[in-house]
Amino acid sequence: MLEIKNIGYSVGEKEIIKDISFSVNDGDIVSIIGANGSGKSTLMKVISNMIKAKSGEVILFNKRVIDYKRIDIAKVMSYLSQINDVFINLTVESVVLSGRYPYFSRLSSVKKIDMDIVEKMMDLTNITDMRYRKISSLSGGERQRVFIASSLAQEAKIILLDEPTVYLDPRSNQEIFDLLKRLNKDEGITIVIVSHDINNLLLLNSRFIGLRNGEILFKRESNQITDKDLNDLYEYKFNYVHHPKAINNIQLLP
Amino acid sequence: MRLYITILLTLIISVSILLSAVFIGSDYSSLVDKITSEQLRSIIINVRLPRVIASFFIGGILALGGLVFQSLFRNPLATPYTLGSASGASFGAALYYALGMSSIFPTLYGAPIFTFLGAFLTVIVVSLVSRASRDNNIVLLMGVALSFIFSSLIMFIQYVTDLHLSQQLLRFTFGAMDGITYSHLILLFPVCAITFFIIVSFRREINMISISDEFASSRGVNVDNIKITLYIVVSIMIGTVVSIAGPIGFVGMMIPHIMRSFLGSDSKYFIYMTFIVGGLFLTICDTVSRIIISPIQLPVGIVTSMIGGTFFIFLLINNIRRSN
Repeated sequence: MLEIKNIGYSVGEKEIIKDISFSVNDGDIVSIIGANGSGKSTLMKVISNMIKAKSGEVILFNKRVIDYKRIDIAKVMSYLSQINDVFINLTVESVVLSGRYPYFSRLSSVKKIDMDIVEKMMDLTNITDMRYRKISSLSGGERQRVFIASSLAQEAKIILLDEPTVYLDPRSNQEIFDLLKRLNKDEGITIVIVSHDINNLLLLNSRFIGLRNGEILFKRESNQITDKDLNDLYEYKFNYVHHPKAINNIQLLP
Repeated sequence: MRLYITILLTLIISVSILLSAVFIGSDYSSLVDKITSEQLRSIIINVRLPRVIASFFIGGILALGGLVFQSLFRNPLATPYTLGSASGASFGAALYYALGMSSIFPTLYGAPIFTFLGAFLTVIVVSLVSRASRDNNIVLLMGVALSFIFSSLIMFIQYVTDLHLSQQLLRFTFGAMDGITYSHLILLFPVCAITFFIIVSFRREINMISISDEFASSRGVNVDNIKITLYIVVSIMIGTVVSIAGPIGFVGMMIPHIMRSFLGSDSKYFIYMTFIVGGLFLTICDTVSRIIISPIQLPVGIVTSMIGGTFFIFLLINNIRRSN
């Protein structure tokens, strides 16, 4: 459903990513990992058509992503970037409702179906209790769940998440990963995620794309990934122990 | 229910303030002569009434302009005034007079074109800076720097031109509401109605962009188009207001900020109430400026800046506290 073909992006002379190709199938979870500055976020922005690739193309449902109208992309693919500071004073409910934007016409009011979907997504992400609270009063983890609910309200088949758990405490971090697992399993949502939390990504049984200096270093299934892969990727020698729940028994330790 | 009562009360208060503002003012035409009731009637109808109506609409427009800029730049300190747009408009007006354009284009419609261009070009410069740097402080500093440059250019023009023109330009260094006639209202009404309608119809996009550009974009908003449209809309608003009353500061910063914390920016009433309260605030300030050292009339910009400057400091301290 999503094909990335020989994508390259550069700023001036500097190549940020080069010749990236991989495909994402229905129901997949694809994890993009790599050191800071390896081009992960840039890649996500190119896929979501926030920025245009300098070379190559992104094919979304058999059509080039650059040929889509923004509003039509929003109906099939949602992109959630890192949002650190919120100046606005919006309620949880209205942020979730904003996910219905692609289905609104300019002056129409909100329809019942929109509210039903908002209810469902708030329920899924467990934020119904805080629907009238202001976004600025939420904790980082709660806020992230609200943004995910808003993405879900787009009813997009594919969700792109750029470091959804950055700055979160371990419990909130875990809650987000549990949520993602549920969304993938129960709702059939295809997920492309950038994260540094290798252990949780492994527990999601995702496919891995390892990026180093803007190039793909490896593509691996969860159970194929080796100590050497990760050591090469981050150019550091980690220690590894067995994880009781992971298929391939990797747990990264410094 | 409480919200409805608040809104109803605000409406009642606004009507009564607008009505009474017309009747408040000096009964003396100069320091010596008490004016007759016939003269007073004429003053009320021909001078005070258009002025009160204009101050309401100008206040509303300024508050709306602030609301839009605060949301687009994601900063409560970002308004057309603080980002230099109002000074840009003033400079446009100064050029219009200094170049003798008033003999070519009639002032009522010629000056707004120049003020619009001044405001719009400034917004474009500031928005390019905000695109290049994610640091909000740099954007604000850029606005402040532009304001200083425009002010000095206006003062330069004032200094080198004749006394009459220099007097005329004084209005564009601080806002003033004297000399407003019904013909100004003919310009003000349609501008107000059209821009208000556009902003209301863009309310969803404005709220989404206020979260982040990418958030809005990912939900299908064409962020660049919306931003440029709103820059043009706000420039028309500010250009019109400055051509009539000069740059009036701080209404655009205070009112939307206060209304946002009262109602929340997703409230249906946020935009309407910001407009109404902005209008009321300026009407009150203008009434105060007319009577405080009567019969001399103080430019309203002095009153709003006095109140607004204090509020600005309060905001800054609040920001510092929040970031600690």
